[in-house]
Amino acid sequence: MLMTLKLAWRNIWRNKRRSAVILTAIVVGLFGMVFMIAIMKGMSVDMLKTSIENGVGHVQIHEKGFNDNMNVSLNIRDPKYVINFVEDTPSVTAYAERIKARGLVSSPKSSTGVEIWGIDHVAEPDVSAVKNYLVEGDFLTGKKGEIYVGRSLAEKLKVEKGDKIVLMGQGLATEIGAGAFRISGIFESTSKEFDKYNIYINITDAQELLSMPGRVSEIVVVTESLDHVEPVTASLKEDLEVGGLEVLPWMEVIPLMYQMISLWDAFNYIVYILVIVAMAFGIVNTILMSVLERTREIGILMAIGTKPGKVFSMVMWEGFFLGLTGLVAGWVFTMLVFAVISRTGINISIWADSLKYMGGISPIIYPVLHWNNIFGSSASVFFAAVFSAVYPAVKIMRLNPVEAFRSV
Amino acid sequence: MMNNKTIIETKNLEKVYDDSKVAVHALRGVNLEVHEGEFMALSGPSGSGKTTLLNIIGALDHPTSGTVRVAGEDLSGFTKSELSRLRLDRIGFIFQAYNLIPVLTARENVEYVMLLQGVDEKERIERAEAILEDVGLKDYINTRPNEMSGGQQQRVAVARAIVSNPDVVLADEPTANLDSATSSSLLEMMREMNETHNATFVFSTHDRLVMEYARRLVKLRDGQVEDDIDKDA
Amino acid sequence: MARRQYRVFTLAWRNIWRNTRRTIITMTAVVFAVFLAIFSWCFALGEHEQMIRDTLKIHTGHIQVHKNGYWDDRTIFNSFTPSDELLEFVNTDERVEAWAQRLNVDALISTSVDQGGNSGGIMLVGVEPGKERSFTSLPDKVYRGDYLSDDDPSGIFIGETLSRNLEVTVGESVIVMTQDLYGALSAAEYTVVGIFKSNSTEMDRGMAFITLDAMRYLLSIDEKVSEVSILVTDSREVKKATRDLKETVDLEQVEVMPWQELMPDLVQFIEFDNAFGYLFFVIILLVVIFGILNTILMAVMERYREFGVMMALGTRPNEIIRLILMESALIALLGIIIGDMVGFGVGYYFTIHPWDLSQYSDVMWSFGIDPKIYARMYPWVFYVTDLIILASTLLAAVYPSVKASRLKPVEALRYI
Repeated sequence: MLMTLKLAWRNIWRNKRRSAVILTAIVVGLFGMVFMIAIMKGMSVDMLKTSIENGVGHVQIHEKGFNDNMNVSLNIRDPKYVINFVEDTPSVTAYAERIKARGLVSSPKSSTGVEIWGIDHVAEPDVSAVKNYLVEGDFLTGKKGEIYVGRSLAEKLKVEKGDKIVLMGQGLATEIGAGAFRISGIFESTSKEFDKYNIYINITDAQELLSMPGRVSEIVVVTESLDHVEPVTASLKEDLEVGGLEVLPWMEVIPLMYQMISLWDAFNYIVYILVIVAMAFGIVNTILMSVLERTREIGILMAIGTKPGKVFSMVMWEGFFLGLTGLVAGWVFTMLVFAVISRTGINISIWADSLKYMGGISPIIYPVLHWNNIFGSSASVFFAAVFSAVYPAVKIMRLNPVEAFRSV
Repeated sequence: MMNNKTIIETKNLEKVYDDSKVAVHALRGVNLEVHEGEFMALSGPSGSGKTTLLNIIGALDHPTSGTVRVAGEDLSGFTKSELSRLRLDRIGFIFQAYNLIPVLTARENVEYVMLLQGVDEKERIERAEAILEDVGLKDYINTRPNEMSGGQQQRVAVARAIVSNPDVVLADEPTANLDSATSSSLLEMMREMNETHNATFVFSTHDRLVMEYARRLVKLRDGQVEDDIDKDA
Repeated sequence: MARRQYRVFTLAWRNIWRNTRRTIITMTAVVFAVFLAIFSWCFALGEHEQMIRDTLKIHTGHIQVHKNGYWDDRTIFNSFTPSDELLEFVNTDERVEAWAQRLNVDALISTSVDQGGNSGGIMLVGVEPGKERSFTSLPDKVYRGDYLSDDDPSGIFIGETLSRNLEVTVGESVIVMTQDLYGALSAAEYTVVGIFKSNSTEMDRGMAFITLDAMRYLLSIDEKVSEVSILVTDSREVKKATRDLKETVDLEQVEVMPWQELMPDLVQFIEFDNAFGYLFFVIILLVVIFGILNTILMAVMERYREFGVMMALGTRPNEIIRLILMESALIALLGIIIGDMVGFGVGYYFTIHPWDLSQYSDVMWSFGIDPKIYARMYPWVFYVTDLIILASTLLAAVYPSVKASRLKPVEALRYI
């Protein structure tokens, strides 16, 4: 056995140039696979992160039916009741109360439909990144009549910090609630659409505007990590669903995102298969020719008593070692490249406008290397190398020593 | 030096090759006995069948008709696997070229057959080094074939052939690629092996030198034994 | 001279068949690369073209004309009256398949309290139903009820998501509120005549249609429109039509924008998608080419003695190079021809039977892509692919052939 391994390993290096070329093919293949998948993963991770930070959070709690129909009548009558359970649930790092409703915002020059967020200026920064998007003025401070709007909305309405705008929304009572607000601050996220559509006021002002004192539309929860979402959801569901509330993990709040992530993950497999096939051609030919070159030598091996099975085994091991070496070299190269691009990122700003399709991800993508990628790509390389060795191994194993001597 | 023990015995050996358009009758009824301790050469022009004969008695090929017995056993019923085992344990081979595995050192090449036989490591190394010394290659134990001359490579081949104490060593034109001085010294060494280890040698050859060294000369022509000269008789 | 070249060809051809298995494997690698390229390219083209067409046909059109500055500031203050020249162009130019004019405004739509009291911000679009029918695909996407009709100014046509959010259905009424041209609040009640499902979340959630007359009445505007949209028969005519149109109108007053300017995100998304495709193809190509390089290299080294003999007999080094390049080219060409045929066959199948990704329907529609993807084949796809692969193979063959040509016959003859 050891001899077979020794022979296989040394045989690979008999022709250094040939091995170098095929190893290059393997290195390129491995790097290509890992890179493409890491970039795609980087994008989908960024998209998810952006969505979550832009308000989706990890888990949302509403009155049942609110997620399908943002009607103010579907509100949480007793927020404290919910909060007690939330605080008792392990792995919850932050939570916040919100009012959410659709409305119209107008300035002297223009008006447009918006989503009104009534937020807790203290708790909200712990659950979303909205405060971080501040570019001018101040975030909400809790003073009455403040409003925090996006830059593209301000441009559309032709208003600036300090200007007054009117907010209108259908409240619980019969009339439409209206109120004047002063712009305290302007924010800019990575998505113009987001900036144009979402406005933030203090939750108490929202409750007043929409005639729903003491009520909230939603309680958003942030967990320790994405892995904790499921257990936290399960726990809260148990506590709260009896009371006619819905507890939704992010996957149910933004199912499209979830679908897209799985679509892209599925694409990974296509990448693996195609690269395996591409590598296989070169590897098969390489091993085949290197084996046929040794016909006489192998014939003699069989003459002196080596069983065909051992010859087969030796060639298979050659495939294995080729794959192994390629894998090591490939990972060294890949890691070097990743060391650089992990820091600089990949700049896709020339396609900046299209980013809105992807939930407004940042124009700089950082590759994300997941274990799936590492295992999948490595396994693919191995599989390609070993699979490619089968045909040559079978072919040479069937060699008749006598014919070997007669072959010129 | 002759012992009555018959190592190899063929009766009416015939071999026909049918692969190209014309059927080739390589052997047309060969009767031959090889005895223990012989130093024998099969000679004859190209096409006389000497390589074919060697292949058959070396259990590499089956005859079309006739029988061959090696170490008393009739090879006709042997499976490929059994032939392989037989070659491993009882027959040693030396070829004209490509004898050695280029990626293994001299010692590893010699160890190779013992490995196949399942000899344990310590004994393998001992025996390999000992036999390499016997053939005069003490300083080349860890050298690879491409760093050795043709003659040295053939010596390693001889060492490997006899290290497992085979019943017979078959050598197919072992001196064909060597100059006469190297050939002489190789043949000297082999004769010494024949005398000290009592190894039976059967050569197939064109080389006059080999025929001179041989103590029994079997001449083949057109697939049949034309002459059988025993110099010791 | 020609005789010598002819011999090279014959020699090359016979040489590649000396080792059939190796040639076949190499050829198959080429077939793989060619087929993959053609196949994925045709799908990408089909997907993108469909995306563009579906997206543009729903509402936007290929070219739009607005008041100068409207696009950056889309309010009713930037509405205009189409000039006679413009009207003549859209009515008579044969490239125009259909045209429509619309008046757009941001508004709040809501239902009464007993209906549930829901509301939402929308873009209200005033259209001429008759004209729209030959333009937009919306009338085909009616989910409930009917499309608008010219003689019913009280009707409103809304998206399915909006109808759900408002909890209204066909026959029920909604109230629309907006600011008119004078800044005053204006409101009116409309009856839902139909609900559409366009698969564009923006439209389904945020757009509602009333007749142009109703809109003008609501906003106290006369004669003006926000946009004139044009659909051309052949999307390849867009550039020229835009240019011609620009010459017809007064560019001081109005702006003429082709769809690429109207939806740069769409353009960029397609470019981005393509970039990914190119990247992946380059990777596969590199892997395949290295494999081919190795094969050619080993094949050439096997024949050193033969080349030695050839050169000893008087063949010049560059003839050796030419021979090896010719052999590689022949193998590549064979692979390309077969790859083209397979690519054509399979691609043709998929131009008729779409690739069905319906299990990802929702997310694909959110990108505006129909989950049933048809492939589209163009000759240039084949030409470009063939060229790239042929060039790559020849490039791979350069190193081995130059190496072989540099052999000294004496050295080469030593190889057995």
